[in-house]
Amino acid sequence: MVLFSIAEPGQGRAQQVIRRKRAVGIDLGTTNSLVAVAKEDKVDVIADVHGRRLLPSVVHYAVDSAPVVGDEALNATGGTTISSSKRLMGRGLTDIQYQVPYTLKDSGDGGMVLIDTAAGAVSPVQVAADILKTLAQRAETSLGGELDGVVITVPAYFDEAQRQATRAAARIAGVNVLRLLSEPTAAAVAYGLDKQLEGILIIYDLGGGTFDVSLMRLHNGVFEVLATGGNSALGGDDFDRAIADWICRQATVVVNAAVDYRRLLKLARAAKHALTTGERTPLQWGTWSGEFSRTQLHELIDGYIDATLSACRRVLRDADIALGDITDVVLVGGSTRTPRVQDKVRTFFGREPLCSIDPDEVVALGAALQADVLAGNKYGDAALLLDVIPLSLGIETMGGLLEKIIPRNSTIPLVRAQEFTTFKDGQTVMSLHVYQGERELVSDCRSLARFDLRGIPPMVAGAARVRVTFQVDADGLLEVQAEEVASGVKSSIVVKPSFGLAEQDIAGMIQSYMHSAAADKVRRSLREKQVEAQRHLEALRAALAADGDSLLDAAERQDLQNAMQHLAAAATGEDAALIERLTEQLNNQSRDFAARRMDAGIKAALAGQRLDAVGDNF
Amino acid sequence: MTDFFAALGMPVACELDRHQLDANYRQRQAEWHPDRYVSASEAVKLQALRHTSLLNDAYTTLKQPLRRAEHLLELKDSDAAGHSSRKLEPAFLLQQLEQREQLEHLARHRDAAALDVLRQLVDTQWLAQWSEFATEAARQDWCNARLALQKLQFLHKLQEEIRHLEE
Repeated sequence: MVLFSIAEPGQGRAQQVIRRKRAVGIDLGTTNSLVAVAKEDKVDVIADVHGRRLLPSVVHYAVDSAPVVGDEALNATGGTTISSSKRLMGRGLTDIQYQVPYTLKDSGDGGMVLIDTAAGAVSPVQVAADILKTLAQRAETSLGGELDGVVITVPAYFDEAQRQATRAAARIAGVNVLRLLSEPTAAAVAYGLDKQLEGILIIYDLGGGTFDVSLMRLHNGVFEVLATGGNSALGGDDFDRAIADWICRQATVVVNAAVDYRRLLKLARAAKHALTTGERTPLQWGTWSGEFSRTQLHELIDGYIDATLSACRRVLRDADIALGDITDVVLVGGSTRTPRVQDKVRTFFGREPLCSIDPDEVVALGAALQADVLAGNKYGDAALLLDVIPLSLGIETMGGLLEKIIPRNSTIPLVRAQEFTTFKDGQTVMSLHVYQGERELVSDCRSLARFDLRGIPPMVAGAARVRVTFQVDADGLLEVQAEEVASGVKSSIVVKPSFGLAEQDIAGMIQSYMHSAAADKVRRSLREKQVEAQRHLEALRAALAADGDSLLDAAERQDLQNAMQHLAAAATGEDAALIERLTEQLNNQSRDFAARRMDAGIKAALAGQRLDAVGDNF
Repeated sequence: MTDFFAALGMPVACELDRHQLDANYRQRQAEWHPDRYVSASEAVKLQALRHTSLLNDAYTTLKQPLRRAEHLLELKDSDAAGHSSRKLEPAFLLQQLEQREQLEHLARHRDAAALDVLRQLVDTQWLAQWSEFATEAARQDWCNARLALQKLQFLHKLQEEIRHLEE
């Protein structure tokens, strides 16, 4: 902070004038990126020296020269031009299930992919950093000095790995990140402040490759995110592909070569755009020519639009809000320009959607407003944003199950604790594995971090009380702490997920969760029975070791051990009913032994002093 | 045990004014949110984080009737463990069993209309049970209130399952 002391003549008293912080909002988009700033009375996009407001998210890398960013990169020749690299952020090679127009490489350590360029291998983080640097320079030129901080927007559905990759890009570019803000939330801030909206807002954000939806309550300058959802693999690109495939079917051709398919997609996109105004448009591919009508377009894309509307329904349910409670619907993202999308959204919500702020700029404008607040330029009357975590956080428990500690759509900041216990007698180490996701089994969720709590005093299974505390701060950063309550032994970790650990996309995870909840239940029940069986076996083994010789004869002991072996074998299998039956059987069979142990225990207790004496001799 | 009612400036009661709750929550968040303390010391920031986290917990708890009722009992019925918990009457348990069987049947036959009828029935039962809980709580008969709460928990679970099926 820079402070000037100005002594006003004749006033005799020094007055402190605080320089307004240079804080901007950056929309780091898949196709275009832009930067905006909030001034005293207005917020606007910062253009470059040529007056261009959008910066294409394209970087050109060539041998022995600095990277070229934006429009110039589009026209550059002789090197490698990278576009749409946002889709590679925080992703490993195995995550990329689609074609990209450049060569990808594994980073070697199972981390994020690398892109092969004329200037050597480049990480998507580097590409994002180059774009951020260009935007920061543009802002610094316009504002006349170094930036104090930026707010960068990310899709609501970006998981921890993708968010961390974005933060890393900012670090490389040398900009100070005040906050990562969800794109739909940023759009709501822009609309809320510009139009003085109050009530419940739904933000429908359909981009080229992703769909985000957020439900917010606006009241007296407090912006409360009620729920957020979406699908990170659904967007306007799907419309283009559907049209392209339709052309192939009509022309009875198969298009295999990547270069031809790109040309076909371009044709499809042009046809889609032509139908925003016209009823029908002529099409030609090779020797085939035909006509493409709105009715045909609707048939092809309605399924995708309906999928976005079910995501809206889910968000309403998560927040326990009825359709009729919604006061405004905001459209964001280039694909909401498709008239059919607007029609279906209008019908679904029963009201005219708002799209008065340029859908390409609205996100950056909202980010700029929030940057202004977080830099400390506004006090008192400033808008306050209450955000949520988009995906549940939890830890792995026995049997590979996810115990959710913070459910998705919980308002942050949040501190929540839950107690766990040991599984084995004398267990002194507890391994904690932190996951993010909605599924029941951790194998279907994303691993975030793992750490051990050591030095737990040896106790019988189930006696230790380990309190696991999850703390999510206002930035959405997670810190996990574990403490054994009786002894005070502690361990903690700040979660910084390694890049590219992802097996699946987060939205994909949610979807598969919706589809497979029933199957998960069956698997969960099996795991629970397996764990239950192991617990019985563990307890019985300990009891046998302690009192087996004194309380059982050889035959009894052999019977019990046979039953244990049967159960142990079954517990490794998948037959839940069999495990349950054998557990029950073992229970019955060991009842007598348990009773004898209890008798022996009572006798020992009645003997009073002598028990202590015996104890000392052990 | 933190008193969530006190944290949000609400009277300790089972029915509450939702508008008042929302307003109190927002007003306290506006005052305490860490974003208000971006240039404060680390100690103050931590304090803000702790307090807003408590506010979030309190708000989530109080705005859901069942969790609010549970919290109310935790606060008021401090010697709950001392009471021998009374058993739910067999008639109620039997009804639960029947409704559960009915739900399974409807799930198999994907009978949306019948599911709707069942949902309305369970919702009505919930409301009746809720007013019983409210009455007992007002009379400070915590033993009966606990019994009513147990039934509410059963009904809530059933409502959740119906809802899940409707999706």
